[in-house]
Amino acid sequence: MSAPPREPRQRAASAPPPAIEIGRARSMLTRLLFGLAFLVVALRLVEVSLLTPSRSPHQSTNVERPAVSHRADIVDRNGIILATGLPTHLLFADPAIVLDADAAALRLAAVLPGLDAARTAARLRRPTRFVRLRRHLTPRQYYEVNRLGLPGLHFRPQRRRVFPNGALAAHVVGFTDVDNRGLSGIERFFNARLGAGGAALALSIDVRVQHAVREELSAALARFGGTGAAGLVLDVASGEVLALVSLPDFDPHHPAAAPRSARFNRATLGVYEMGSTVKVLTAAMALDSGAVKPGDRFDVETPIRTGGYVIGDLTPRKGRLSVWEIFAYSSNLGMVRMARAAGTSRQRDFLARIGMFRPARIELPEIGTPLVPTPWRESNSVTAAYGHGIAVSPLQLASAVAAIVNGGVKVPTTLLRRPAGGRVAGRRIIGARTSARMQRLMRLAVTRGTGKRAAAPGYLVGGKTGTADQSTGTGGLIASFVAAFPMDAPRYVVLVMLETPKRVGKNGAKITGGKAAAPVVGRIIPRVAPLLGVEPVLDAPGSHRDGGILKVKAERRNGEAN
Amino acid sequence: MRLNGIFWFGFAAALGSGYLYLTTRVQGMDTELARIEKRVIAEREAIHVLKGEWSYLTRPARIAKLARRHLNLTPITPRHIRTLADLPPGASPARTRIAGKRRPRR
Repeated sequence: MSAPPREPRQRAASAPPPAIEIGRARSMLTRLLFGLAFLVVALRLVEVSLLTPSRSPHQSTNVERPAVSHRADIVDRNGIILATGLPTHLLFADPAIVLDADAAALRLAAVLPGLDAARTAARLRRPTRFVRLRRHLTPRQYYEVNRLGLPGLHFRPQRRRVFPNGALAAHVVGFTDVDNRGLSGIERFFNARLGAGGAALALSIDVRVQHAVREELSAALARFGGTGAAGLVLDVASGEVLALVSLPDFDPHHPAAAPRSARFNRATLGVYEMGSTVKVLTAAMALDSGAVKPGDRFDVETPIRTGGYVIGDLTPRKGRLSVWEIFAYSSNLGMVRMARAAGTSRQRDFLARIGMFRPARIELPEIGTPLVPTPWRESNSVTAAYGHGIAVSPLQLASAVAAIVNGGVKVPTTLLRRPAGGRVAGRRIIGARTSARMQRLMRLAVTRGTGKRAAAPGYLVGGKTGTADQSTGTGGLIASFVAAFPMDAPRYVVLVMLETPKRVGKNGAKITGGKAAAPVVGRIIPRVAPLLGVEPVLDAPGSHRDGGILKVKAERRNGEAN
Repeated sequence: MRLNGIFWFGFAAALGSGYLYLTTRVQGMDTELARIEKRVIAEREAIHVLKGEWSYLTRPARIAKLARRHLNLTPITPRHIRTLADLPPGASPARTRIAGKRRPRR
């Protein structure tokens, strides 16, 4: 009984039905494949979580970033903000959802000053779906309106251009429209650069110097009357403008509220016959040409007749004066004769090279074109010698004087901060020796001449007065003073101009640049010199500052404090 | 065979739950990251506003007014400014050292 039962089993074992075997094989294969797949997933998990080196911070995709970059700030040379954007909200309503228009209008008027409740209620009953109620809600107003909990009110984020220093640098910075586009000043000149956002635009302006100039200028304007004034402080080496003031000025938050005259930039856009301050240029030209030597003397008694009119001096003098006396006492006759010695064409070329015939170069849209007679005749040369017959902007004059005192190189003026210590390329206008001579002449004009009231003790102020009756426009008086300090090694030029001050002083004397403008400079310089790092000269004789001027003064001094 | 099956089933289950755990963790981190980034943007904006407010509060006219009211200062004049060279002859930082052998001369 053993063999036959075995046979069928063995037979069954040696020839199994193919179906089961195939089935088992398939099942095995499937299990293998699934196992492989899960293995791959496992390995990948390990790789992703453990083995991948950390990349740069992964930014979340859930956060909405501002679609547009904000308008860049404008700052002064020390980082003080002159213009910036603040987040505000636009309040609008959907009248369809507003429940009670009158009640809503009343509650809104309680929170938003100046909102007309009746008009608002009427607007909230209109059949539209969008009624703009107020632009530029402050954060506090936004909070209060939100707290009212009125249905149908919505907010949209806005950005409002704000000027923390107000009117202080209004003519420099300018202002924008409701869409934050620049309309004047730096805001307009650099509109594209500011609109692109990014780093703040650093100006060369120093708000502390700007404040000092503006305050002194305002006081002078109040004291002497007049339609306006301008003040400038330039760095003679770099061409940077540290202060640019034009009065009257305006609040850049409400530019339309100011009269037209307040938005007129008298420092750059206005052109004036600057008068005797131009003698700085005439003297420099005459000395540099070699036609006039420092020791020469010229007739200041004989009047000059030209082009049908007669030229004289404010204070007539007799005989012949030396070059420094002609300059210090501001003699027109002497200056004309000095200019004649150099020659008409040389004078014209000099004025052209020093930038009197072309508009000033600065980063502002408001630049005035000088009035220059063409063709240039000898009579023009005569009047130009004492600053009449051509009209230039105060900035042009200040920049030219800077070129005279800084060693003789004209450096382009700029409102942007220049990196410290960088050398600025310029055009040589006069030689270094002429520049030194002009420094001494300007110093003498303050110590001995018409500029006495600009003398700020310790700061070696040198300069030139100007009193010019305008032959164009309304014929007003322009009283000005252009100074540089410290005169043994000038670093800054200060220019003050008063437009149509009162003609006559208390005792009937005529108001001049020496009486009205020079004192302003004399008050500005001691205020700004410590800020600018200009060390004063000590009173004690035998002090350290060299430069010929101080030595001479020490010898002559006998108890004066200067 | 049964053990083999159980093993593989267990393996697959473990893998699945591990994967689920990972994805929920990552989602949670992503939400947290978004929250933090929102706060960073808000803080940056707050700093920006504060900078503007600072410039407004430190404008020269206001500082001058406050100084006049609260401080007893006068404008600086050249008399107030001195250099080391102006010290009396003989006085120098080295000589006025207290410690050590050198004593200030009286």
